[in-house]
Amino acid sequence: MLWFAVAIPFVAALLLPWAAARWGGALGWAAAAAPLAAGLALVAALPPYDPDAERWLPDVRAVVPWVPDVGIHFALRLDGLSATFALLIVLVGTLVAVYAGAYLGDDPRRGRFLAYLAGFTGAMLGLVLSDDLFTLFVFWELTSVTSFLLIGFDHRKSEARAAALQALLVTGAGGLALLAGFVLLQTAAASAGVPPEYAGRVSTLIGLGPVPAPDLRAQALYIPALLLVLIGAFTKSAHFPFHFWLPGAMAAPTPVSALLHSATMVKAGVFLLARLAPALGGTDLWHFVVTGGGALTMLTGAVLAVGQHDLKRILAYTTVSVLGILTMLLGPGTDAAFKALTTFLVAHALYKAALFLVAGNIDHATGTRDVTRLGGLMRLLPLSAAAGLLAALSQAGAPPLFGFLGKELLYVAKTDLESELLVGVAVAANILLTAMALQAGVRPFVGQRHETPHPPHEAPPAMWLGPLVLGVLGLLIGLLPKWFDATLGSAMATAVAGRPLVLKLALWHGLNPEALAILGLSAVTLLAGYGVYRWLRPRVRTVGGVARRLSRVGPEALYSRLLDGGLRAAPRLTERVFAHRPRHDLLLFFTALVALLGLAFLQGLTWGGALFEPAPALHELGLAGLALAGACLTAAAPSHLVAIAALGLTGTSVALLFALYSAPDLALTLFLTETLTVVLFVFVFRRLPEHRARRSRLERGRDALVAGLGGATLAGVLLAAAGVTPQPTELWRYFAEKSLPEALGRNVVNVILVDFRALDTLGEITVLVIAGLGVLGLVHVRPPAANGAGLASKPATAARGPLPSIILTTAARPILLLLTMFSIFMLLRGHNAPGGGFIGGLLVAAGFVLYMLAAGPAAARHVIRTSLGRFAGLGLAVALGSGLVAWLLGRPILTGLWLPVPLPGLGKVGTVLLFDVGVYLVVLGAVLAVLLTLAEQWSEEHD
Amino acid sequence: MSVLLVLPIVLPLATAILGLVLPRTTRVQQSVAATGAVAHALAAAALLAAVARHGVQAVQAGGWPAPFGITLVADLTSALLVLLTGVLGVAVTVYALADVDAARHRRAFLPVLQVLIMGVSGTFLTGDLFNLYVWFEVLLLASFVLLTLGGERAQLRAGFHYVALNLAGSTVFLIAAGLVYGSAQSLNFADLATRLPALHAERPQLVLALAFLLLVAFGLKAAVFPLGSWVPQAYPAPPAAVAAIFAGILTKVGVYALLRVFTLCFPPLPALQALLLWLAGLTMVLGVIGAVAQTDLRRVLAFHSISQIGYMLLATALVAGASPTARPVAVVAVLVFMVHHGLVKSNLFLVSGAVGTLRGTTRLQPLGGLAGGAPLLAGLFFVAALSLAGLPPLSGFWAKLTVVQASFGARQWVLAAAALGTGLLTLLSMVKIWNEAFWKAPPIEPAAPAPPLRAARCGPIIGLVVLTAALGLWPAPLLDLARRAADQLLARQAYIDAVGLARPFAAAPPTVAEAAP
Repeated sequence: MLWFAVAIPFVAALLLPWAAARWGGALGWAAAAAPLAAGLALVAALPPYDPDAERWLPDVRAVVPWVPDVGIHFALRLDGLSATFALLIVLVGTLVAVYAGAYLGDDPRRGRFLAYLAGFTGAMLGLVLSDDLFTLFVFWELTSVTSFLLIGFDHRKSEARAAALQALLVTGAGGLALLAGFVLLQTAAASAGVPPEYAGRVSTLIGLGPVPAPDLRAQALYIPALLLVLIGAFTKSAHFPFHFWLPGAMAAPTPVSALLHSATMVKAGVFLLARLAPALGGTDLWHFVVTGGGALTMLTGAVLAVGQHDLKRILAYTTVSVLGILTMLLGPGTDAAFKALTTFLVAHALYKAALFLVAGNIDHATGTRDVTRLGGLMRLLPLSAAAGLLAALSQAGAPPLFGFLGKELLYVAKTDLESELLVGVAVAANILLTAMALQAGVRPFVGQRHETPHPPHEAPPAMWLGPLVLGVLGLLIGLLPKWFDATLGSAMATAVAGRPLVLKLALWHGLNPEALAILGLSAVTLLAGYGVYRWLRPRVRTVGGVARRLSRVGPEALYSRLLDGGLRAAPRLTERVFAHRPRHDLLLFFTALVALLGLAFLQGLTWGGALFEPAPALHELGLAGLALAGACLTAAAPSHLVAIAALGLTGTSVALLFALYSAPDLALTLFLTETLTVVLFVFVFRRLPEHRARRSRLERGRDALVAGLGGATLAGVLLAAAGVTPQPTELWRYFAEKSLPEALGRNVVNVILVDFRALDTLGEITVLVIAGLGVLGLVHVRPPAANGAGLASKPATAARGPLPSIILTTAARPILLLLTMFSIFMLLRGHNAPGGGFIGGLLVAAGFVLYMLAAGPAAARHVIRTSLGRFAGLGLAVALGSGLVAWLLGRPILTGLWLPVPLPGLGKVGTVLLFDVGVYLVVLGAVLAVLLTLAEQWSEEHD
Repeated sequence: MSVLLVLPIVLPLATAILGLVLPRTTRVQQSVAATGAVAHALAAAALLAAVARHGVQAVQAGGWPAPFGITLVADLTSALLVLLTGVLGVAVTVYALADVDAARHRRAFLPVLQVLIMGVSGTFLTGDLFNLYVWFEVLLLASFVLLTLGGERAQLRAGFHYVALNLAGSTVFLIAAGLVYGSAQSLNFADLATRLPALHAERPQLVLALAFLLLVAFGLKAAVFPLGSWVPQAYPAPPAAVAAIFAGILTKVGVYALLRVFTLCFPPLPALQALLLWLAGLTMVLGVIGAVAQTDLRRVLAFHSISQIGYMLLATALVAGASPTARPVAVVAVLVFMVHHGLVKSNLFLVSGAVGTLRGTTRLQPLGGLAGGAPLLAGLFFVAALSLAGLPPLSGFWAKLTVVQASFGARQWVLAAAALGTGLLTLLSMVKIWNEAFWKAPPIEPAAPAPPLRAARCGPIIGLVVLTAALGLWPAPLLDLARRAADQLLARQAYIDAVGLARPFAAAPPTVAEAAP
């Protein structure tokens, strides 16, 4: 049943936009069915009330595991507290839905509006029914989100958007604090010995669970957890210093204000504190912060209300004040305070929702909510006026209305505490509240009629029904308090106090001195309130100016300043942190590298083992020196051409070092790559702008320093690592021993490439293909014609075409043929001797490049005849296919498989050879595709 | 089993090859790409199911025993992330069919996208440090091509920035891999799991230096502050589909590499952990401040990616920490956050693409009125944005909750507060987008009502929104999986056993137990 109650409004929220198109005028009534049904489900779930029983204390629970891993369960619980709240929510929710259907008239978006309202109702029901901290939090945030959508409903107005944002940010910040608080509470409960399943269960925390309650107050985390929870509650319930979002939220359509901002959502904070009071209350910290925060809020709200002339803003500030009173009553933990809380809370929900709806009717009827422009509407809006008067008198605490009972109990609770200060503050605030009740609920209906934007008229029935029901309900409970105090009242007071309490309400307490004193206080409040109202009547505007000046130094101003200042400062900071220049970022990157490696050196990194042993030979030193010189020269080169040459020097020296240290394959590959790179660079650089150093001397020095330190630290780490390795390593031995017998190859380097680590090679040739595609994509970009910045500056070295030499032209074709044959030879022998697919592919590519330079790209393209992209794709397919052969036979992918007999002329043949053919094709295809395209573009531009 | 393990790599490669040889702009090409993406996702799902049922899976590519060949390994962490890649691959491929122009298709957009998926899957599945480098190269080149394809000025600028930085990162990674091989004599993760702690006992500073080198290389990929400024360049420039796959998965690769290497291979390094913690905090906070500062929808989203990486790094740093109770929660947090953020951020970029299609711009100032003009898109954005901001009951809430729980568990109060504060600023900037693009009246009312979006555009967005909502409402399976993945990741033994190191030579290196500090 409980599930049902929570789910119904959500289902309605999904259906309503769809129903809007079909149901037209009856939509409001249809929307009201959802909270009504939820309410009926709740009533059905409650145990039947037995007037003869000593006590009626409902406690219905439903638990479904949600995220049991984290100790989160979908747990609901219906007890006195949650039942009172839930029934208030469905009552006001139903009436407001009916009201909203009429209020929005033919607005095409009313389906969406009613859906938001329904979603909010569901979230609110879920919130009050939750018995799990995190379930509660989920609904808590959902109310914030739906509230955001509702406040910003008139979203083309910038005030509505700003108010929605403000409400969301303030309650969102509180939500985050609450989340942190809940996590801490759960942690504290777990460390107090509660099993994880129950550590987040509210009923367990307040001592009503299957396991004994933990003493949270004794935990180290109690103080931070409590403070965080309080921040959550205070933001939601618009407590000082977060109170300002609530008056701002009055930008919402009136039904929203009635439901969210008076009766339900803003009470969520109070609800939360009431819910957790048995677990967290009773300490000095609780008493001090809760009572103090409540009292401060009560005064702030009451004082700020005085200066308002907008009906809804008056009501909003008085709501703030009442929320403060409610919180204040949670502080002391006395029986009288809990009883007063119970009564005052329900009374307020009824009268405040009614007053909001009446304010909506007045606005609807007259086109204004300005009290100074309203008056004498009694005759024109009789039903609304009746509702308004009933509600206002209830707020004013006039007998025999419900509000009177609430105020009496409030005074009892305060005098109980024997604190003159608290009594004084409470009386003062209540005097102001009384005055404001008259201001908002009575003044528009009495006195002189004023000129209003519309000629006033009574609202349609759907719009006076709600406030009238609420107003009459306030009267009925005042007259027949037994309806409330024996049922929900006592049950709720018991739930909040955590001990059995019996609530007994009466208009007349007999002739004892205490009761008379309280009655006297009530009378004084009423009279003084009327006095303030009379005094204020002609002076609202003047007082309003003072109030506005006051709020300019208040927390709202701080919020705006923080938001605006933050929004202004953020771009400046971001500009600094994320500079968006590659040079800057590279510098940062290498600085970070140097700093980190420097840190390692500071920790005492040194080289282990014997360095430089055996001492390097002279030619080794010479090559190393050449490589280093090449690198330095590259950095300092005055032009591109010099830089290329210098880079070539480094490459060649390193290649020679490879050759020296018996790595002919690496040396060959590197030589070929260097050769082709030069050709590539020649084609590329003619499109680049003239090399010009735009850096200052200081910048160059800084860059050189970072570069030098980077090289030095890296070299240092290299030396440190080099000292560690024993020779030969395990891998080295394995490769050396297994290469011939098991991988059938004498050339270990090639066997590593095509067999031991063929997966790496497969990845790398894919990289090659993609790189080729990328270059083609970029080459085909037409340089932007406008102002020639970036890539498109004028060609620097006004390169002229390669001079067609007759010897070269004649020789190119046979050389190509020879190189092709040689490359195939290299490919085939690669497994046993220096060579292989990479080298073969590079060789034949070099042959084609030579031919292309001699005969022109068109002729070269003619020789190849097929698309090079396909060529590379084919190579990739061959390589992958060779790897999949083993896979199809149930062996791991890329396992080398060999034909049992050697083929004539080829020797042993296996899949790894095929793989190498794939490599060959990819290298050939990708390299040629890039170079040919560059050359073609070049000749295109020069023809 | 070995079939499933290599499929996430082989399928995209085969699809890409097919795409390369087929004509580029035909329907056949498109169906091949879509089929390939779906097949990849299905294979990934099957792999995850297999790993969940049978434990860690490993294959020795080439049939050579570990650590001599290359081992591919799938534990729950890897398999989950491959599945995420698969799901995003499908969404982005489908979106790209509608969104990417013919010129880009002619330049092999779809095959390159497949290669990116292959590279990412390879990264998650490899059990070898050098092979990881190779996959990094594959995805670097593929992403560079996707980024620059089309050759718009912003793309070229971003592409240069991206490739310049990443090549520097690759170089450092390569040097680091070489040094690890040189000093620990292995590249196999499982092998390094014993060898690096042993080396650490002997030469702690050397191991720290190696860790720092890898931190720089992976940190650049993950966009850790201060190495993350390529993100706000690279994400807004290319078409929305590219931005979506970048935002969904590209930075996660760096986080994954950090997580894998520093939980499996390296011993706990307090200096590294402390550094990572504070870098995570800075990344988180500075990223979100950057987001608040932006005035373009896609740039807001790009900066958020940096910020959210901060959350993942924070959790990763907590994993690398010593607190035994906080570590499993932290792994759960990393994984849940990665899955959540992948789905949601990709989706928001797709939404930004749809907004661009409808209105021709993603700058917030000239936008407006989309709540009324495109209510479906508005609803989808709203849900995704709230999920990003970590509001319940969406996937982002669980991601945020687990990160906060992990931080509290490790007693990192300041960072927990920073994470929560970042959440608030995330909400602020999401609402800013919502207010500007969707709620406010447009400065100039569009002449005609926006045409309805094509199904290929809406479909992926709806699908991803449904996923984030489903994971939010029903998070138990994901959290449960993440919890098991955490146990697996932290115990390490299952991984090492699955790899099954061969010891053909007598002098075997010490076992885990001996090497443990």
